[in-house]
Amino acid sequence: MARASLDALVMINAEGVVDFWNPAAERLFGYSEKEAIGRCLHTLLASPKDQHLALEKMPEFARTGKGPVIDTVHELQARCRDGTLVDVELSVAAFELDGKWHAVGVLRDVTEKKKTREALGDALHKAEEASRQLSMELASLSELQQSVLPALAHTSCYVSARGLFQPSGLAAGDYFDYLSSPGGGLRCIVADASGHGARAAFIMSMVRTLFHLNENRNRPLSVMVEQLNRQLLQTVGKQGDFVTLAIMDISPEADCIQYINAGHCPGFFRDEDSMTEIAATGPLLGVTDGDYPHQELACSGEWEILLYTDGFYECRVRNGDIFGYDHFRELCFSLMGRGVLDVDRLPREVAASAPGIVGFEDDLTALHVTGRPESGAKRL
Amino acid sequence: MDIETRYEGSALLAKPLEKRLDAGNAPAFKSHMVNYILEDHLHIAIDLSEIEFMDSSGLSALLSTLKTIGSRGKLVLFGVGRNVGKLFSLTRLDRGVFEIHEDKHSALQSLNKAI
Repeated sequence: MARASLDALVMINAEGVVDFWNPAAERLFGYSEKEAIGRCLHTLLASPKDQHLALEKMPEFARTGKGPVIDTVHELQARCRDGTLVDVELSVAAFELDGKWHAVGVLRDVTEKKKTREALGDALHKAEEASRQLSMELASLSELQQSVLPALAHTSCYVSARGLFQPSGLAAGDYFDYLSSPGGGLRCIVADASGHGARAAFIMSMVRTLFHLNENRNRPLSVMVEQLNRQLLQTVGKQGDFVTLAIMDISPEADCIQYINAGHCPGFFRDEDSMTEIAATGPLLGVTDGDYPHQELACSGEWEILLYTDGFYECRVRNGDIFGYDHFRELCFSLMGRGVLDVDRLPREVAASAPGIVGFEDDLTALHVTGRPESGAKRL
Repeated sequence: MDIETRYEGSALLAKPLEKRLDAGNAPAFKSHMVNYILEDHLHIAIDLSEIEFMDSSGLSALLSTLKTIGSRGKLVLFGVGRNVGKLFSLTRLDRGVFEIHEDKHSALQSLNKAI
């Protein structure tokens, strides 16, 4: 059986002299059985760096049957007859025969295995390095993205605005912003690019650029939105990417709010008389060419508006369902009706209202705008 | 992603066999659909009856399919459930962008007229 083994089997006595050498050992090391038997194994096979240590430990083995390689499996390099070094896996066991210790070793060529392992290790290292670099890039993108969002809440005599931006990953496709307009008014926006991550963040940067473009500040909303739609059609229009947005011009002087909702989830509007959904007025952007006329809400009392992205209601609950738009609307109407909506607390409010929520998987963005008593609102 | 396909005349019926069409499987779905189109299947009806939830990535994959077919053929949808229907109506894609049918019969009738 030992002679038929595919692994090299070698037996030595207490002095380290070979007294068994099977055909597989012949094939592996190039020494015939006749050449190997009777010779010191360590002189024969040990690499220069292992030879000294092995010979040093032999007296202890002869006395006790113990040694650093006994009852272990480890890898080392062995020297073949032609002087080349081969990587082998060596397992050694000791046994006592007629009061003298012997050791039997099983040796297997692991040259290919070692090469594969090294190649895998190298690939893993490269993958880790690539992942680290990608994470750094995304972190840098995320930092930039957060830095261009309004850092402070907006407050004027007539209107206040406060935003929340909570990306699900390092870069996000969500966006909120506001710009003061003459007369104490405010232009504000909440937008969401399809997908997640760097691609969505890149598309969203186009939205911000057009929102902040000086030429656009005094242009009607419809001009800006149609311009953005054309840009998106030209750049990403063939690939299925899109942007949804809700944009508003709040003008206390005119006592009205102009808005466009391009395929975005409905905003919520509350005034002293009612609670209303601000539904889409046109399709999402980047899909079809078309007009985006604005709609108007009249202001004549205390009012508030919540704009947000779909991550708030698309969160998954424990049984696999989603929290859902209807539940979210019910929650927001309740908070707004009691006058206690705090945009910073909104994710916690959602989590608390559905005990089974597993977690938010999408970016979360919200913008809460409130009008002073001088302005107020009712639907036209 | 598993998609059940069969032919009804010259029309291809594709039914994604997943409960969700979202960021996790939308790229695979899009890739399958593009392959069908490259194989010259330009009249496609997608049965969404198994899909209980779709996010913006799923919607993007459907839009990409629609745009890849372009004017060379036709894409229709049917089997749209409540949640997915809500997404189409919120985004207004049910008004002149996607052709959404009540059932397979109606979807195929529309495709056959275009073939």
